[in-house]
Amino acid sequence: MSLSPLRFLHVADACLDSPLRDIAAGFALTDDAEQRLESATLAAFEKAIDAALDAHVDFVILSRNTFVENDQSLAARIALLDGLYRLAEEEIRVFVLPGKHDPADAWKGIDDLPENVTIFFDRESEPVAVFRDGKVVATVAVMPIEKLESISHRPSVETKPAGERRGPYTVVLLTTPGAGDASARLHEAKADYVALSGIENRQTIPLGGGYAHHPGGMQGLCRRQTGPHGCSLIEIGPDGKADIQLLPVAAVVRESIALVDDSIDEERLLNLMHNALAPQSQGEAEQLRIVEWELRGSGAIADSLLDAERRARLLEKYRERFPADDALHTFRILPGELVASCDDAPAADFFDSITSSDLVSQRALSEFLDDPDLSAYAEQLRAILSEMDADAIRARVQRLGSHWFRTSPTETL
Amino acid sequence: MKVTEIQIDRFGVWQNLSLPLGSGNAHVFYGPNEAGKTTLMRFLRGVLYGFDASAIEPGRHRDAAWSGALGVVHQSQKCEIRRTSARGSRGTVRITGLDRGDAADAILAEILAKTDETVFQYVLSVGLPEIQELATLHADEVARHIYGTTLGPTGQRLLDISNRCESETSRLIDPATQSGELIDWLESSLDAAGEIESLKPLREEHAELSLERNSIEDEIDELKERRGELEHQLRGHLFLERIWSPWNELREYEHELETLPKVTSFPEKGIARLDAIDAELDSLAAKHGAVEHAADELKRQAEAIAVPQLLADHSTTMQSLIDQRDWLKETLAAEEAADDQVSELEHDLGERLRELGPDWSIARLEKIDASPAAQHALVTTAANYRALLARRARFKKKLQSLSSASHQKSDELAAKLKELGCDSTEQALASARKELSNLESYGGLTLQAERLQLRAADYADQLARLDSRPVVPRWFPLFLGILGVAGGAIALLGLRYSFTTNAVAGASFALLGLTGLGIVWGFRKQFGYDDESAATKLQDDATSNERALAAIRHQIQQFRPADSGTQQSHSDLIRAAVQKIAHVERLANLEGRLHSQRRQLSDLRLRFRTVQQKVDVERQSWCTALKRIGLAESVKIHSVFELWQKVLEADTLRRDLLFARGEQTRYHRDAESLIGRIRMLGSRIELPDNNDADPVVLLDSWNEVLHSLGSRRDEIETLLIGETERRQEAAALQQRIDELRTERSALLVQGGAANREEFERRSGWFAQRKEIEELIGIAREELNEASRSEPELAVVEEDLEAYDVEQNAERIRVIRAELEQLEQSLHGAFERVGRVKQSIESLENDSRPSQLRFEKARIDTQLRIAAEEWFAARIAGRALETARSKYERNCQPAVLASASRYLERLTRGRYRNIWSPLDRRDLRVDDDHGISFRVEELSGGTREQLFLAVRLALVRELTRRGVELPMFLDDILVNFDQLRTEAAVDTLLEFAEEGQQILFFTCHLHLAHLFESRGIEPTWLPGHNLPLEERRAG
Repeated sequence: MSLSPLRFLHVADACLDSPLRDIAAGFALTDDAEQRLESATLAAFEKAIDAALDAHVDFVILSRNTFVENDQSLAARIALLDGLYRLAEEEIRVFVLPGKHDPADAWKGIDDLPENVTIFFDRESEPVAVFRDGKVVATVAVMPIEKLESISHRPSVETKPAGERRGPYTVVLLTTPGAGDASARLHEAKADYVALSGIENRQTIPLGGGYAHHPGGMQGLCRRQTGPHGCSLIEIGPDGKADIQLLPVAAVVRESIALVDDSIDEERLLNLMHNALAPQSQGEAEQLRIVEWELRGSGAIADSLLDAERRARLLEKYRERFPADDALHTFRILPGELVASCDDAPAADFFDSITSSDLVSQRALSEFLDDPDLSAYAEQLRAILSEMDADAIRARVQRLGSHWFRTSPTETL
Repeated sequence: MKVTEIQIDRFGVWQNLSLPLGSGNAHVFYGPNEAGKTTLMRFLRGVLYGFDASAIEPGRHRDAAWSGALGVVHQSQKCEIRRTSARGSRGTVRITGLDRGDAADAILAEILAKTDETVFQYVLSVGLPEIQELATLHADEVARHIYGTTLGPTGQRLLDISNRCESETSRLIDPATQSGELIDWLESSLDAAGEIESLKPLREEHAELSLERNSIEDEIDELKERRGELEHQLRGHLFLERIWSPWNELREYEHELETLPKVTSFPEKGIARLDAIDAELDSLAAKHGAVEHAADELKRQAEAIAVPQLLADHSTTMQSLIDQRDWLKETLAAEEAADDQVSELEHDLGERLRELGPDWSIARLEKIDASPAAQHALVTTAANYRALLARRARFKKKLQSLSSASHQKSDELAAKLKELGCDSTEQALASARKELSNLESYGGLTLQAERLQLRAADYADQLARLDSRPVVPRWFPLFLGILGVAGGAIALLGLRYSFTTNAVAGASFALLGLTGLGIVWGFRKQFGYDDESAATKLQDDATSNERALAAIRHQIQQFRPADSGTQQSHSDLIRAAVQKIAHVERLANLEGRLHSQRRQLSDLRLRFRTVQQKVDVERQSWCTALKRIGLAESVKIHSVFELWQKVLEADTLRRDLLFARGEQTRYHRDAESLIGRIRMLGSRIELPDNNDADPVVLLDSWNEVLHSLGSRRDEIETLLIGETERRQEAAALQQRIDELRTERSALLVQGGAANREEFERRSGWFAQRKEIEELIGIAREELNEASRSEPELAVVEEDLEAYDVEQNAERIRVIRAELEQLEQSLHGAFERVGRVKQSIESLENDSRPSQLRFEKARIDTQLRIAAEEWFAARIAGRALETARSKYERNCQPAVLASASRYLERLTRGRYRNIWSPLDRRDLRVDDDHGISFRVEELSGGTREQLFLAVRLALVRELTRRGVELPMFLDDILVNFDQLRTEAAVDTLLEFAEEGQQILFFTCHLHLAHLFESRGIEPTWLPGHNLPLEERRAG
């Protein structure tokens, strides 16, 4: 018996109804854009469910952080149940691996889950069979990485030609977060498909007989999560070969584009921006695009973009010039490389002392919070230390120094 | 200034004290406590800056007058500074030993280098109290020396940057006020979190509402189920109620049907038909009698009306004439109008004939051909004739003008030929051309003669040159010949050698040969030795040239022009000849054009004659045409056409007159004919007044008579027609009565009855039976319909037989009551579930939590940005602090740098650096590990060492600035441990060796010995307990 063709959808870190981060309060948004940003994860999840139904998948995997229990979001609950019931109507099974933000207890608290949903409450549990026409086409199990080797070895996976493979397809939801390419145990896995977890970006690792895969967050939530996001449609042919395809269901797409030449003028910058965006295609599900332009250097254009009003004027001009582009634009201005040598000893000492690699480490930043005067806010600030943008802080320090010592780091230092 | 001697006349406890200071700069004064060391120090300071009474212990020697002197060396000059004071005053100073006329105070100020007393007191003259207090270094003058007057540009910049850094940090977090941008965002984030937290129960609320909704929906389902059951029961009872009635009726109808006599068939609507027949028979009988009576009455009335017979016989003829009454009237009017028209036309025609002339009459008019063809022919002939006349006129005019021009040109040509003296232009042209040819030949011969003359001169010159050439020796041509032959031979030889043996030799020979040939050629060219007969030939040429010249001169005489002797040049003569030829050629052209014009004139005359002939022919045709239409001949076309117009008009009048006369005759004849017939009939019918009256009026009266006659005849006819119609109607009625009687009999037979009574009885039975059967059908239909409406309900015959109407009605009432109650419960449940669903929907549509979370995320982003800015400011501040600290340590004023060196020596390297923060008058000391200490963090001994080091540095700085004053130290080493004391002593001695005078006062013997051990002999002051005399003596 060869493997039955199989198709399933893998959704990870859906984070339903979680807000998109790194959009500053001072950043002007239209009502429409705000509404799209607020409902981005819900819209993406709905698209993912649509995709599962359209593709007639055999089952769906929701791995980790499907929602954020701490938010107690009603909208997330409704969207989740709506999606699950839609899948149930088509008798599509759903396998759920709880995560940090949607712990098992949170899933247990949902009383009206449909019958098609299987939640793996334990780190290890018995494999669950997926039937089609009375036959087992796949098994889905959860386990930590150290148990991967314990999967019953299917000799056909490796030793027999692909066309002669036998037995159901083996899917393992890995409960060990962060197991990536470097994990040797992962490469020892005998599973056909290992669903990775706790990884920020999309990743596919070819294994001996299959793949380890993480589809990346369904919707890019922070500025680091750029590019297309969505879920993965995995199709397994009769020969057992898997085709992993990204379904870009994210409603909001974030892009970060570096403009290396800071000696340009405003006109050139506008054209560069337009040219950089021109070749990018828009996905079907995409409702909004946020583009962060990273300009490195200390030229006039970089300096001018530090000023909010001038930045707004530039964007206004861009919109007038290219009205078809309805993306949101932000700027990230980073200074150029420091070239230390000068006669200004205090300035040199200043810039020497900010070259340390440990300058903006969490530990270094945390030291500032030991100040007794900050005791009232220290904890709150400590909580966001991990979100700090080290490059931005370093850039700000460098810019302050340049400003104070009235020198351009690349010119006189 | 250096002190060399101390003399105290009286000061404090000291009187008449004289202390000469030895050589060297270090002087140690030892004396036990209360020996007067401090007083001595105060004396020294008092001499220089004035005595201070408050410094002396009260009650002891304060009221005495003080006096004393210091022997000093100032600028290598010895002098004495003496100060004497009255009681409690600072005293007056006197300086001796300097040859200066200045005031003592000025000289003293110069000696002190204008050093402030405070500086002297806190720097140069210090005791243990001064050395222990930092404040003594903070006096303005002293601090100025220590910390410098300004920070310098870099220091100021660093301070500015520090301030900016501080304000940047404070902008975000101001610890003092617990405010700032970052704190605002932190609080906003907390507020947003709180707001979100307050909305978290929404999910529980939604869950509770969902449970409630489910519960109510279950309740609704139960109620609906009960309602279904009751509705089913109700339907059963209602069904019974509904079908029992038709079922019961059916049963009763069937029973009634069985009791009725059987009448199987009966005429359809028999009774009605019988009633209708009987009624119609009665009606027809009455109507028949009335119609007969009416016919008889009409007949009697017609017979009563009378009509005249004669008038009735001719009424048709009369009516015929009456019908022509209008035509007659119109004919009479037309006859009258025709009479008038004839008269008028006759008058007009007479007028037209008079206008045409006496030879015109109606008879002639009748002969005129006024047909359109004749008129067309006349017009065409006139047009042709007129066109030819115009053409002839044009030819004539052109002929005249051409003839005139020809005559004029002919006269002009003759006059110009006469001027030239010729008879014709050909002759004149030949003469002019010959004249020009002669002139050209003359010119050519003249030029040829001039060339021959020049050539003759050239020959003469060449012959003269030949005669003057130098004479060449006779052997020279021979030599040249030999040289040429030899050159050719050598050249050939050279060529041969170059090909056979030696190319160089061959080339040399060839070169020599060519050289020889060249020389020969050159000489021949230069001297022309090959033209031996050149002179002879030249002479021959000159002779022939002379002959040619003579011949040409002869020819010139032949062609010389007649007026060659005038002033005109040969070219002018040629130009005149050419102009003459041109003039003659123009005359020849004129003559040509004249001949052409004459030929044209001849042609024109010929064509004119042709046109004239055509005109004659056309005139003949014109006259013929006039004659043909009856007009007299005339060449005046216009007059003819005017006459023709009038003739046509007269002819038209004539024709009209003829037509009018014909009409007049016809009208008269028609009217007379009709009037005759009227008169004739009038006489026959014998009506009064019918002979002389106007026939039209007569016809009108006849018309009235006929109208009256017609009315009577119409009345009789109407009555007769009415009678006939009544008779026919009566016959038809009788026929109908017979038909109805037959039909009635047949109807009775169909109903099986012999008479009307029996027929009616049988009809009732049949109708009743029919009615019951219909009712049975309706009942059956109702029953079937009821059964079909509830197909799932089955009722058996027994149920219907046992059916109780009242019981069933009661049951229905009970069920309906219960259903009503159920409906109310359901309504309430629906309302409740509606409210719950609305609440759920409201919760589900509530986007506030999402908005708040997004808003909080945005606030947190802003918070993160502000936090990054704050961390950046703090990091930058720390980096700035590093730079500033380094600057503070490394870029201090000279005094602190110098003090650092002294401190290192005093502490034997334990403390190495003294520095001061940029913006503060505060000292920091770095130990050998680089750790900084504030002054108050140092031990007492170290602090005293620090202050001593600073003072030593200050003194050194003063010295550098030219202030050379002794340093008075009053037991400042008492708190030092042994090692640091030794180090201090060594430092002081080194300091003294560098040129600074130090007067060290101590009450500690070990210190005196320590100095003594280093070669400084202490001055042993007398103890305070010694008698005053002994001190004075000491």
